[in-house]
Amino acid sequence: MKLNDLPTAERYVAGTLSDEEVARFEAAMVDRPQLAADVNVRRRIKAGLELLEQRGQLAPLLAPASQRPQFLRYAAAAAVLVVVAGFWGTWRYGATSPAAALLASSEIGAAKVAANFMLARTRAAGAPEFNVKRDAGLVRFRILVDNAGDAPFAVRLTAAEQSGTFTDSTIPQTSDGFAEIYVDPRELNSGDYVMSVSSQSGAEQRFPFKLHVSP
Amino acid sequence: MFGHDRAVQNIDFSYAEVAQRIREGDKQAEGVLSQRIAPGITQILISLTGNFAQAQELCQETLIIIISRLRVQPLDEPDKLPAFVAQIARNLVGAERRKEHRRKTDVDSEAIDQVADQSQGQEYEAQRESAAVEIRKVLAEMKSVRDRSLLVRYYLRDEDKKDICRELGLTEPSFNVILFRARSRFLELLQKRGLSGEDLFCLTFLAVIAAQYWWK
Repeated sequence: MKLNDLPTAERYVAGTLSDEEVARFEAAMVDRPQLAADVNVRRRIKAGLELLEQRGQLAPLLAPASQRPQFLRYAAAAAVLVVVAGFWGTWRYGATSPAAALLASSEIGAAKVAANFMLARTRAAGAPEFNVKRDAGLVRFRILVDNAGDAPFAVRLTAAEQSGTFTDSTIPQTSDGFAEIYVDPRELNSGDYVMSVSSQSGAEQRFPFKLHVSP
Repeated sequence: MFGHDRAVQNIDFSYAEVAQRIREGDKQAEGVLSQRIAPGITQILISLTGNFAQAQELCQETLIIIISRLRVQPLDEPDKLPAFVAQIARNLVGAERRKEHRRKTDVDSEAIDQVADQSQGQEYEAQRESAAVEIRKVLAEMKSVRDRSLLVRYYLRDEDKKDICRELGLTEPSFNVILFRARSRFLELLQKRGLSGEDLFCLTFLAVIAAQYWWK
């Protein structure tokens, strides 16, 4: 019997050898202490595993442990994302609300434009009033700027009732002397607003208006 | 339960020569033979009795019978000495069982047996506990669930190596490497726990096996 006849050692420990095989194997084990040592190790490992199984400690070790932490890692990552998104949302939509209300022409894509309004400085005392439907679509504001050649313009929409809240956008160029900006009524409440347009030179024009948003 | 903790050496000699030396009164030859055959005898006896302490006692008896016989009688077929030794060990277990059966008819002897069994049981449990702690560490250190499963299926469930390889998508050399590492680590941990002797020998044995795998 060769030293590396380990399948026989397996079967000897498992007790699945025939009587004749047992006799041959045991004679070989007497002749080769290495074989006896191999059987000894197998018995120890088996006994240890049996005890772990009896105590219910084996199954958790065989469970796809990598999946559980993986799942937990994904869950944790998702939770972090939600929290971050929450903070970001609060910062973006809370502190600067109405954040997504003001859109440059490059940002509107194929969105529907439901109404067009013009903003221009006049001698009239009252601010213009505009009526929009909240879900009808975007509203385009054409702003008559003093120095059309000073593009790009920084645009800021301020809600008068929410002091300190504003939103910014940029108008890269003018068209026929008008700077165009889009407003999404879904993001706005009825009230007084000021649209301010600043040129690169720092000159600022302010356009107050009153907006009525209906459902 | 598992095996004695004595150092074992693979001493290469011919049974005819050692038997001749024993017959001539060479005590050293008796020691050499005992060292060579004791681990195998112990494992046979453990298989039959499931009791390490009893296996040790019967191993000593087996050695006494063999050496006494070799002192007075030459070996007709030296190559068959290992088979003869194994048979003596088995016969001794049979005789011991008959003796125990007779003892159990005696009330006082039964009480003595119970005390002895309790002590042997404690030793067995301590060895199992030690094995469980170390094999648990080995399993915990294995990153792959597949490898852990391999170990359990092979050693605990006694599943066939080829079946395991097929079902886990492993080649036989990969299987052997995983097994070898696990066994080596197990023995290393046992050694750290304070066991030596046979365990040290086992490490050497495993190193030999590993060398065989690498050369293939």
